[in-house]
Amino acid sequence: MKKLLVVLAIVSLQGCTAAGFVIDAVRMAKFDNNEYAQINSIRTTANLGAAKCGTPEVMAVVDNLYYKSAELKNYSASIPRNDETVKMTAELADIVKGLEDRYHSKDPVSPSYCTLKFGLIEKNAVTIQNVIGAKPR
Amino acid sequence: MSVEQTIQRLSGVQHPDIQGFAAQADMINKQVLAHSLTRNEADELLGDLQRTAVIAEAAGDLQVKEAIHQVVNGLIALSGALL
Repeated sequence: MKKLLVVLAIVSLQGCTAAGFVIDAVRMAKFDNNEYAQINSIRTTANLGAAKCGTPEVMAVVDNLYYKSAELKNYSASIPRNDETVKMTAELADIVKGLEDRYHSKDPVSPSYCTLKFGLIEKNAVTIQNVIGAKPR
Repeated sequence: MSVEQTIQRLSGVQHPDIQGFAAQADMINKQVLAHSLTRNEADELLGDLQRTAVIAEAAGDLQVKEAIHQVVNGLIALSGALL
């Protein structure tokens, strides 16, 4: 009898967990093609842009990344029940803003900073892309 | 435990995101040691690592968030002393 009660308790707890996942999935924003395309574009731009560090062409890449990250932040914020993605895209936009500000200041930018910054932007973009890509269809 | 030891330990964790983060932290550490960054640049990159922890947490990966916190404080102290 005791064993049966233990088994029932475990099954009921697992049921609660499963119900929690279902509720989360229902309440979470659905997969959005545009959101996914935007984060993929940021990731790819950062990936290819790192090679431009130390050249005059890097400025155009930096401006482009800044525009794209602000665009994604605004886009994701307009989607209901999208809180976690909004938090992530806002942090990413802040990271990119640091790059933009530095390239538009009078001080020279070191190549090491540029390479590390592009690497961090790409790494975080991959994390966000994985989350956006895993949203329920 | 030194920053290098912490980074090395994180590199051995079987988690691709932690290994990726450890590689980033290792590069920052090396550039700080080589004085290849200005103080402002290092401060900004360390702030970015903390933002990376927020992103990892929002992505549901608390292991990565914890790993970042383990190494960032050491890097802040190191860059403060060297740059």
